[in-house]
Parts: sequence; structure tokens; C-alpha cells
Amino acid sequence: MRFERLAIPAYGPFTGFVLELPAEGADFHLIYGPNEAGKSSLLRAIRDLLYGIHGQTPDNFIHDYKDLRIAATIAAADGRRLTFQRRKGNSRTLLDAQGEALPDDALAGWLGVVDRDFFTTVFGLGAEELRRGAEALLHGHGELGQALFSASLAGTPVHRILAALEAEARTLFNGRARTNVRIRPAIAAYEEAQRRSKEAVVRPEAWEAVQRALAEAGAERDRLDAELLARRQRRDWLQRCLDALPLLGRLAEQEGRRRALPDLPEVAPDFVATTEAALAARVRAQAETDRLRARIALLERRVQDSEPNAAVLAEAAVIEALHQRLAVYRQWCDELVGLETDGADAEQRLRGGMRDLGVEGEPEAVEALRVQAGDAPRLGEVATALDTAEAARQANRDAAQQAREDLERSEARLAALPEEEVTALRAALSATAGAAESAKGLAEREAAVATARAKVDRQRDLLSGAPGEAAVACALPVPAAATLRQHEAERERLGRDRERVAERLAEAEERLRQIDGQGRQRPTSIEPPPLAVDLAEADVVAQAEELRLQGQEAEAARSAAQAEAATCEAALADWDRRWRGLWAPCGLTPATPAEMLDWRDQWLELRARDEAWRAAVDELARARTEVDTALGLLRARLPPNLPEVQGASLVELRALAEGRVRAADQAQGARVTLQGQADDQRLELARCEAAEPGLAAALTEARAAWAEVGAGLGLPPLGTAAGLALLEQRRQLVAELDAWMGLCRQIAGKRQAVADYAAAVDSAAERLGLPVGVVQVREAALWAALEAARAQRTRRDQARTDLTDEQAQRPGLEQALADAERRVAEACAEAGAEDGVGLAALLDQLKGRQGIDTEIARLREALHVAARGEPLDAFIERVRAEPADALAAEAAGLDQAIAAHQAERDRAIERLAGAQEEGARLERTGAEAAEHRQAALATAAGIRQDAARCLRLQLAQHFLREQIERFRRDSQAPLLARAGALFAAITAGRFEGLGTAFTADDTPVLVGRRAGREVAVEAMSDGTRDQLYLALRLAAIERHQRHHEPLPVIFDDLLATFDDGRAAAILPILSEFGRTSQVLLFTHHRHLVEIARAGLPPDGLHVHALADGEPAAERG
Amino acid sequence: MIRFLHTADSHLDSPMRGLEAYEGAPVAALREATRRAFEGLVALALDEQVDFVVIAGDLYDGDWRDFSTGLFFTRQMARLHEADIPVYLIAGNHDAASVLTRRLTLPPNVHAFSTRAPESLTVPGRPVVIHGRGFPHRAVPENLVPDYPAPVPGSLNIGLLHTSLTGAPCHDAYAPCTLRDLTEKGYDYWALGHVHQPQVLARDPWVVFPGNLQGRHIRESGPRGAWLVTVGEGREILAAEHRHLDVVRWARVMVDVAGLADPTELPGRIGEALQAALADADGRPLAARVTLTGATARHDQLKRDLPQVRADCLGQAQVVAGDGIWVEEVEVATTPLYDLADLAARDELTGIVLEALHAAGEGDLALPAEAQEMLRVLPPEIRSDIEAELRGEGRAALLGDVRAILLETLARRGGAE
Repeated sequence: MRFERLAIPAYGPFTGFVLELPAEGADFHLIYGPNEAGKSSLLRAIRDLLYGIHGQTPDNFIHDYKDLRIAATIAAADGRRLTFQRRKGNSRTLLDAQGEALPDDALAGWLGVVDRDFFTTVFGLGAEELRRGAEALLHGHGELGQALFSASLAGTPVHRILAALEAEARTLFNGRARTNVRIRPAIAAYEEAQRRSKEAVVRPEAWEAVQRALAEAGAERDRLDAELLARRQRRDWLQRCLDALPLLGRLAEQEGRRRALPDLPEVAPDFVATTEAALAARVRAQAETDRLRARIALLERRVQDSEPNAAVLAEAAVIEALHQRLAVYRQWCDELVGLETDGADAEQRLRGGMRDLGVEGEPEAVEALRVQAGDAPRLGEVATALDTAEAARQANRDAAQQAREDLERSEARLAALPEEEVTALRAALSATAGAAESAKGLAEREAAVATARAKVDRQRDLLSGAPGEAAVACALPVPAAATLRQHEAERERLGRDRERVAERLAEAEERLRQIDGQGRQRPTSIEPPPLAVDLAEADVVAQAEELRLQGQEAEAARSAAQAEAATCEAALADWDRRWRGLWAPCGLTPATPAEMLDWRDQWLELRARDEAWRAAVDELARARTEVDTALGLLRARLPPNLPEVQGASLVELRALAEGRVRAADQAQGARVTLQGQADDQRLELARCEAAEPGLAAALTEARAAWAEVGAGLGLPPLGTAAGLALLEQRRQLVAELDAWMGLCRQIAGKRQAVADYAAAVDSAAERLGLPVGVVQVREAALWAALEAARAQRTRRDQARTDLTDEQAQRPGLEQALADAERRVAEACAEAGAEDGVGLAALLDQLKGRQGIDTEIARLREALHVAARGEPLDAFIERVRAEPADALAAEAAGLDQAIAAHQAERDRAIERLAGAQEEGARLERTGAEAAEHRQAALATAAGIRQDAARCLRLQLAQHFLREQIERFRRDSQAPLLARAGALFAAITAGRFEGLGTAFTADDTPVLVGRRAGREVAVEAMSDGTRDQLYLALRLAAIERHQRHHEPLPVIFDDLLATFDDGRAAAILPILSEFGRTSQVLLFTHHRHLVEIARAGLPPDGLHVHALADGEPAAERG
Repeated sequence: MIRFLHTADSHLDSPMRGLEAYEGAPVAALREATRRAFEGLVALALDEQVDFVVIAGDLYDGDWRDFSTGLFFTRQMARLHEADIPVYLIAGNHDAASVLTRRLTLPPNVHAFSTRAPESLTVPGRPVVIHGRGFPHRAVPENLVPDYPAPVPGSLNIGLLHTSLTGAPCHDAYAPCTLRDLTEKGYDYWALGHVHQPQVLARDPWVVFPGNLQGRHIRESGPRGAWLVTVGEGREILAAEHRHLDVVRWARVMVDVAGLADPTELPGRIGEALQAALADADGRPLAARVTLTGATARHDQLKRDLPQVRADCLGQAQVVAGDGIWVEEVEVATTPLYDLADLAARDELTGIVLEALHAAGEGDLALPAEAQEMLRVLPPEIRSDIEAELRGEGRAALLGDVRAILLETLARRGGAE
């Protein structure tokens, strides 16, 4: 398919745009347009035309979405032709030439299965994609399969894809690594959890043993408990007896004393207490009555002696008022003295001011100098205006003088600057910059060559058994690593098989031994049981039969294992033979695969070092050539008469040239700066001279205004500063007058208040007959008299109150005394005493008898504790029946026996607790077993998920590698041949083509062929690598076009990074490409058009100028 | 009126399978789940004051030797003994292999049927006769039903049997019999065990698999529990009610991503689906397998970015339920929108990759050395799971994933473009 015509009625910057793409000659169209001419929009338009306008396209900045239209006429190789339009929308966006809707899949037959993304990436190529593709080549180390695959898949970075898959897979599993991976540590955790679960499992035997221990310990404890109880009960009775015996002795003694008492009258139990209380009450009542009577007499005398001064109390209100105002009076006196002093000072300052200003007469004459409120500011304004005008005129004169002097200095410095032309010298410096870097590194490169050679030699020495010459050793046909790993894996597998077979053999033999052992304890015959035999016997017979069958199975397993062991040994011998054969071409006797892998690594290292040495030698030669060329160029550009040019090194010549260029640049910079300064100074001088007349007129006007205002205020003709100072002195004198008059008024008021207070004090003192004195003394006498009268009145009132209270208590006390007398008389009558003395003696005897009774009761109560509920008299009888003297000895013996018994019981309880603890532990452990198993399964779930994921990633990586290799095998020959031819053409013959080489691990890599040598991708310059990638891409596109309906190929600024020579080499190839497919090359470099026209035949291209959305077609 | 509970396949202390522990996973909720479910069964019997309980086998896991599991069972039975509730049980294939069955001393209210011959036991004080026989060995290939005693007239006859019937899907044949064998026996209720999916096979007479008490892996999703059966005065079955006793609910959560335009909408869709599943679980913690379905242009991307999709799921589980959801696995079961034939025809390279993948679907599949090494170090039980993916239908799915990863990686040029 090719475009015959592109028409864009409305899209992006285009309005009515038409691009005719004739097919005559090469179908190669160079579309030139400066930046912003619409090239990017045209590219988007082509894609949107074929695949639909994007829903949020930004190309609606001129035309509304609904108006967007792109049209084209396309043609196929078989002559089909279609003219259609595309509008924006969700469906039926394809229209025919008349605007009628076409089916949405109308272009399917033209585009095939190429979708928008594929079209964009495979049939479009720009400078950026070219750069990325070349970098991918470099990162892939030129690995051939990847290079071809990547170029054929629009630059897809295969190495990155493989790395991404491998990186994710290695986070899960990475060989023997146990860190930064998931699966191996998880397996360890899984096995650990399983081991813990097995360890925690409670066996029935363990549980039953614990149960037995529990029962035995319980029985022992119960037996010991019963025996201990009997001994403790006897010990307890003995203790009760021992506790009771002292009490029983004291009880017998008290009972004897009771019996020895004389006969006494029987009285109420509380007789002694009530009688003693009555006697004590009588004594207390008599004492209280006597004290009250004496108190009443004392209070009556105090009332009579405490009458206050009535005259003073009558003047109380007046005296209190005078006393309250006394502090105010004292303050007035102090203030009056201060005011009189201030008044004298103010008058003195006022009169001094009058003298200074020449004012005569009394102070009131100053009033004539008072100035009105608005006059003073007006005078200030006029004075400021006059000062400003004078300062402005002086500043202008100073600035003019400064500008004049600066201008003279700048002109003198300009005249003194030198001039020199250094353009050619500068270009030479730029051209030799790379060579200078090379010159600096010459010694380093020479050292690198020597070092690389030494490394080669050292590495060769490490290779045991290899030829002595490094080049010969490098050429050995060493087997590939994959081959060695396969042998290693096979050897390991065979080893594991042998171990596994040995284990099975051992297991089978062990099983046979176990079965033989069990067989000796069980019936070996399998006679059918009689009908009457019970079911237990039937089970035994069945188990014997099962045992026999298991024996047969074990025998079979052992035989099978022995056969497998023989097979394993044969396989191992075969492996060894093949292994030695593998190394025979190298002339080596191989060690183990692991050791030979290490040997091979060393051999690879030798090859790498040998290659590095060769590269270092090439690099050194190139640098030396570059330095010689630079020396010639610089000598030609420097003046020949300079003595330091001859015999100088490149670095010295460049330093000399740089110094000359730098000096010329500095002089030029100073000249520009000084010219700018002189221009500014001339402008400043002109400005000052223009301002002078205006400033003089403003000064004259300000002076006239000042004279007019000063006269209005009665001021003499003075300057602005003196006039303003005189006005300020007058204002201050008027203020002094105002202050002096205010003080005079305050002094008169204070004198009147002091006199009024003194008169009131004297009047009150006269009425009470107090002696004459100063005001404050008489007021103090008045206040003292009032306080004394009030205190006397208070004492009298308190005595009256106390007397009333005491008299109220008197009847009660006299009644209490009478009652006490009556109760004593009644007690005498009850006891038969004649009087109080007889009553007291009888009371002493009755108290003695009560004490004995109380002690007897207390002792019996104490014995109740030891009796512990047993009837007391029966208990006493039982205790008295025991042999009192032997009780203590028996108790001591029992204590020892109980202690020994207790220790034995404690041990039994410990055994019981131990068994219980073991039981509890087993139950806990059992739960732990299930938990560990659950944890193991949880871990297993994770391993399963990770392993499944890892397997997929490994397979994806494996498949991709395999198919890359397959693609290489299938397409290497034609693709590499075509890409090689293109590469030779693009590099203008510097390279003869492309080829393959093999890395140390037998991986085929892409190399360029130049002058009969192979050049690795890493050794190519960036530009050459770009050319290589372009050759690969063009070959891949050609290959695709051959197998599919050709589609237009669009190159967007493809040659932007190519110099003219390289671009000239590529353009004929693109033109040739246009003979089979349509090629559109967009560029914004005008010179590329010239190069194309110069380098291609007239029918080799079509040029279209794209300016402001309008094309102008022209024939190449 | 008589009421009894019918349960089976409690598999005490059997672990939850397939759940990978991760930060934020509800580990505590799943700990001892089978024990908690069994405690729920006992609590239900006590709350409902049932007359008796029948257990149709597989109390334990056959290869589980921890005696504390048996002690747990006896403690629970002792609770029923205190409430005077008798229990009738038979040994299943797992119990026959379990050391616990032989060594454990059961409380007096627990009646274990003989494993040698069928026998009949009468429930004290009730007109109920239970006929049953336990498994003597792990494998019982013969039909046990013909030897079961004839029904006792005037009593409710319950047959207690551990059987796979004629072979339930995904189950081997154990004590095989037909539904007709059972229905023609003349019993009123067949209390079966062995099949873990609850189901009622017949209602005249009743033939019921109660299913297991607690789902243990994704194939045992949905509610699990026991049947509460109510019998009328005329010994007719008035009601049979499946009571949910699982403490953790397994669920398959399907997320339709067809038409998903914006990839940032994916977490939201996952969250909505998890929310709905959580609501169905009646407040239980959820062990969920999230499966993305539907035809989408992002098929390859989802396969390639599976770790990210999984992280989104875990994040949404946290958002929706905190620690109430354990995401067992995230499965991308979407289909692509492209046509593989078109892709193959478009360019040579994609064509040969697809062709190679197609060819790998048949014949030998050569594994790369690193994959072989990984398989070698995997524990055997996990290795067999992974190796199963290399065969049959597993291989097709595996290669489909590999294809999606490859296409997406190629389209993305290796990076996240």
C-alpha cells in the first residue's frame, strides 16, 4: 500500500492542505519544513487517518472536533485504489470521497493485522529510536540473536526484557543463594515447622504413662494424708491438755479463796457500783454549789465599779469625724509648702525670659507675644521650600562636573586598548581539543598496553595443561559451559540416583529385618480360623497374613533396588567415557565438571584479557596519529616568527595559542565595556546642563515667600534658621506665663482648707475642757478620751451578762446536792449500815468477793477455748484424767513424727504435681503441634505460589531465549547478508560488511568487518553503531515487506545526528528502498535537501517543502 | 417429639490448606478452627437440648498422631455426658487409620459401633434404634448395607454409615453402595458421612450427607455444619435443618473485569466483591480465593503484574474487613481480546514465539536448568503440585500464563512503559 495523495481539510494547523505523492521514479519523498511547520502534526494525521482520530486529540486548536477531517487516496501493488476520509467519532468514522459512511473495517484489507502501535513502532523510525536501538546493541554486547530480534521488533530491547524476567525470577529463586530470594528460605522455614510439629506431637504412650504416674502419686498422697490426720488429732488433744492445765490450777485456787470468805449480806449485783456513784455525786454537788456562790458575789462588785464617762460618749461622732480627716489635713500642709516653692521658681524663670527678650513691666505683659495657631506651620513650610531649592541647584552643578571628568578618563582608556584577529587560531584550537586529550593519555595508554600484556601472561600461567602460547591457548576448542553444566547435572543426577537406590535398598532390608522380628512373636501360619474362634483370634490371624504380604513386598523392593543399583553404576561408567571424549580435542585430561567449569572460567578470562590487550594496542596507535595531525595544524596557525613554536609539544603549543586567543578576547571585552560607559557619561552631562535654568527660577521664588511671611509675624529680616529660632523662644515664654498663673491659684485654695480644720478641733476640745495646744496634739487628746470611755462601757456590760448566767445555774446545783444526799441515805438503809462510815467498810468487803467471782468466770471462759465446744465440766474431767507430767514428752515425740510424715507427703504431692504438669504440658504441646503444622502449610502455600510464579518467569525467559536463537538460525544468513550490504553502503565502504564471531561461551555475536578484521560492537564509535542499527532495521523492514503487503515507511528527522558525509551515504539507500516501498523522510535541515539533490539522480527522490501548513512539491 | 444432631467428617486438628501467611492475615481466627467448630456443635446440642447425637465417621485425620486431639474430643463428649446426651459414632476410613481411635478411652455416653459387624443400639428412653458399623481398615471396598440389620418395627430406625456411595466426584470409593440400596433398606433416616459437601440425596426415607463441620481449603467453600433433625410422635421426620457451624468461611470471590477501562478501578471492583462475600459469611472471617474473570484488553498485563494484583487484593481485604479476610490466592482467569492467529500473522517474531508455545503444549516440555534445580529443592508434596502443572490441562494453563507474560513484556519493551 502507498499513499498517492494526502488531503487534510481540517486537522491541527492544516486547513485545506494537500500533498501529492507521485510514484514516478523512486517512491522516496523528502518532506522539508522548518520547525513549527507542521511535520509532527502531519505524522499524527497519517496515523489518525489509518487508525482513527484519538478521542482527546490535541489537534483541535483551530478546528472543532466535529470538523476534523483527514483524507487520502491509497493504492495497492495489485492496482486497487481507494479514496476515503476520516472524521472524529466513536463509530462509522470512515467516509468515502462523497462523505458517505464506509464500514469501520474498510481498511482491514489494506492494513492486514498491523495495528496502530505496530505501525508506529515498526514502520516509523526517528533519531531518538535510532539512538535507543544502538544503545540496546551495545548493552546486548552485540549478541547476534538479540540484535537481529531486537531490530526486527522495532528496537525492542531484548536484553532488557530478558533482564526484567530474570530479575523477577531471581527474587524468588536464584540457584543456591539463600539471601534476597524467597523460595529457599521458605523451604527451610517449612521444614523447620514440620520438624517442630513432629516434636510437639503427643504420643498415646506418653499420655498413658502420665496418667499412670498421676494415679500412683494420688494414691500415695491419700494414704499419707490419712495417717497424718490421726497423728495430728492426737497432737492436737495433747496441746489442748497442755493449754488447759495451768488454767485449771488457777481455777482451783480461786475456788478455795471464795470458800474462805465471811458471810456478807446479799445485795443487788450493782449495789457496790451504784452506792459508790451516789457518794461521789454528793461530794461533787457540794463543791459546785460553793464555787457558784463565790462567783456571784464577785460579779456584783464588778458591775458597781465600771461606770463610763457620758460627756465624752456624747461627742463621739464629732471626734471620730475629726480623727478621720487628720491624715488629709497633714497632706494639705505638706502640699502647701511644695506649691509655694514651685510658685517662686516659676516667677523667677518668667522674669528671666522677659529680660532675655527685652519685655519690661509685670509678668502679665508677656501675653502680648502670644502667636496664633496657624502662623507657625506656614512659616515652617516656606523655610523648607527655600532650603530645598538651594540644595537642588547645588547638586545639579556637582553632578555636571563629575560627568565631565569621568568622560575624559574613559576616552583616554579606549585610546590605549590593542587589537588582534584570532578567528583562525580559535578554530585550530577547537579542532585539536580531542588530540590534546589523547596526548595527555599517551603515557597511560602505553602503560595500559604493558599491563594488559602482563595480565595475559599471568592468566596463561594459571591455565594448567594449556599450550604455552597465549594465542594458541585462546584458540583451543573448549566445550561450551552449557555442555559442561549438562554433564555436571547428569553426573549429579546419576549420583543422586545411586544414593536414592542405596537408601531404598537399605530401607527394604531394614523393613525385612523388622518383619522378621515381628514374625517371631506372631503365628506364621494362616490356617483359616474355626467357625467358633472368637473375633480377637481372627484379628491376630489377619495381622499375620498382612505381615506376610508386607514381607513379600519388601523382598520385591530389595530386588528392584539391587537391579537399579547395577543400572546406575553402568550409567556412571558411560558418563565417564563420554566426559573424557569431550576434552580429547583440547588435549586435556579432564577433572570433575565443577573443576573444569572453573578451568573454563579461567580460560575465558584469558581470552578476555587477550582481547583487551589487542584493543589497548590499537587505541595507542590511533592516539599517536591524532596527536601528530594536531601539531601540524597548530604550527600553521601561529605566527612563524615566534621562537617558542619550534620544537614545542602539543600541550605547549595549545597553551601558547590559548594565551593569545584569551588576550584578544579580553581586549575586545574591555573595549565594549568602556564604550558603553562613555556613552552613559555624555548623556549625564547633557541632562545636568538642561536642568540648570529651571532650578535658578525656583530659588528666587522661595526667597520672596519667606520674606513676606516673616514680616507678617513681626519678625526682623533674618535667615530661615534664625527666624524660626526666635519664634520658638517667644512660644516658650508664653508657656512659662501660663504655668506661673496656675500655681498661684492652687496655693490660695490649700491655705483656706487648713484653717477650717484647726477651727473645728479647737471647738470640740473647749467643750470637753481639754488643755490648750497645737491642732494635732488637741486632736490626739480628743481621740484618747473617746477610746477610754468606750472600753469602760464594754467591761461593765460583760460583768452584767456573766452575773445573769451564774444566777440562773444556782437552783439546779442545789437540787443535785439534795438528790445525792437522798441516794446515800437509801443505800445505808439497804445494807443495814448506820451511817456513811459503816457503809464504806461494807462496800470494801463486797468488792473483794466480786473480784474472786470475776476471776473464776474468766478462767472458765478461757478453758472454753481449749474445750472447743465440748461441755466444759466434761472437758475438765477428761483433762484431769490425763497424766499431766507425761503430756509434754508425748507431744514432743509426736511433733517429730508429724514433721517426718509431712515431708514424705510433700514429696508425694510434688510427684503428683509433676505428673499433672506433665499432663498439662502434653495438652499444650499437642495444640502446638497442630499450630506448627498449620504454620508449615501456610509456608507451603507461599512456596507453591512463588514456585508457580518462578516457573512461569523461567519458562518465559527460556522460551524467549530459544526463539531468539531460532530466529537467528532461520534468518541469520539472509538478514545478515542484507544488513551487511546496507552497512557497507551506509559507511561509504569503511566497513566491508557484517559477520559473526563467538564469545568465550560460544555465543554468536555481531561484528563489523573492516580491512579484513572483525570489529566488535563495543569497539565501534557511537555514530558507527547508529549506522549499524539503521542497517539492521532497514534489512528487517525489507524482510517484513517481502512477506506482507508493503506499507509506507516514515522516517522522522532520522538523519538529525548524522554529519553530511554520513547523510550523503544513507540517502541513496533510502532512495533505493523507495523502489520497493513508499518512503517518507521528514526533515527540518535545508542542507539535507541540497545533499539529496546533489547525490541522487533526478528520478531518485521527490522533495516537498512544507511551510505554514502548505506543501510545495518539486522534483529532485 | 425427638430431636437429634447428625454430623460427620470433623477431621479434628486438620489444618487449613493453601493459606500463605502474610502481614495482616487473620492468623488467630484460623487457629484451631476445626476445634472451635466442634465446640460449636456441642454447644448447639446443649442449647437445643437434643436427645442424642450421631457422628458418621472421620473424627480425626488418619495420619495425625497427636493424642491431645483425642483428649479434646473426650472433653467435649464429657460436656454432653453432663447433660445426659448420648453420642453414637462409627469409625470412618480416616479413623480406622488413626492411632487415636484405638488408644482413646471414651466417656460412658459415647457408643462406638463395632468395626467387625453391623450392630443395633437403642437410645435409652426413646423409641429409636441406630444401626451401624465402623471401618476396620482404611479401605473397605465392599458394600456394607446388605449386612445391616432389618429395621425394628415401632421404632425410628437410623442407619449410620460412612460411604462414598457409588463414588462421589473427587472421592475414592469407600464402602460403595447405591442410593437404592439405602432407600430400600426400610430405615427412616440414613446418617451418612465421608462426602464433605452437604447434600440431601433423598427425603423418603431421608438420606443425608451432612458435609464436614469446617471447610479446610478452597474446594470446601461455602457454609459447613451439621443437621438438626426433628422427629414427630409418629416417627416421621418433621424437619431437617442445616445449621452452619464453621468458624471460618471459605469462598470463591469472582471479580468481573470485562470492560475495565481504567486500571485504577480494579482495586475498587475487588473491594466490592470482597464486601459482598463477607456479607454472605454472616460475620465470619473469610478465607477467599479472588478470581478475575471476563474478556479484557488487560489480560496480559494482569498476568504479568500478578504480584501487583495480589497486593491490590490484600490491600482491599484490609480496607474492607481489617483482619477479617485472608486472601488465599489471586487467580487471573481473564481472556484476552486479541486473536492469536492475527498476532502470529502480524510479525514473524511474535509468530515464532506463539508457535513455540503452541508446540510446547504437546510432547515433551524441556525445562530450563534453573527450573529443574528449583523443582529439585522443593519439598516433594509441593513439587508434585508444580509438576502437575506440566501435564495435561495444567500445562495448557501454564503456557497460557507464560504466553501472556511474554506478550506483555514484549509490548512493554521490558520495562513499565
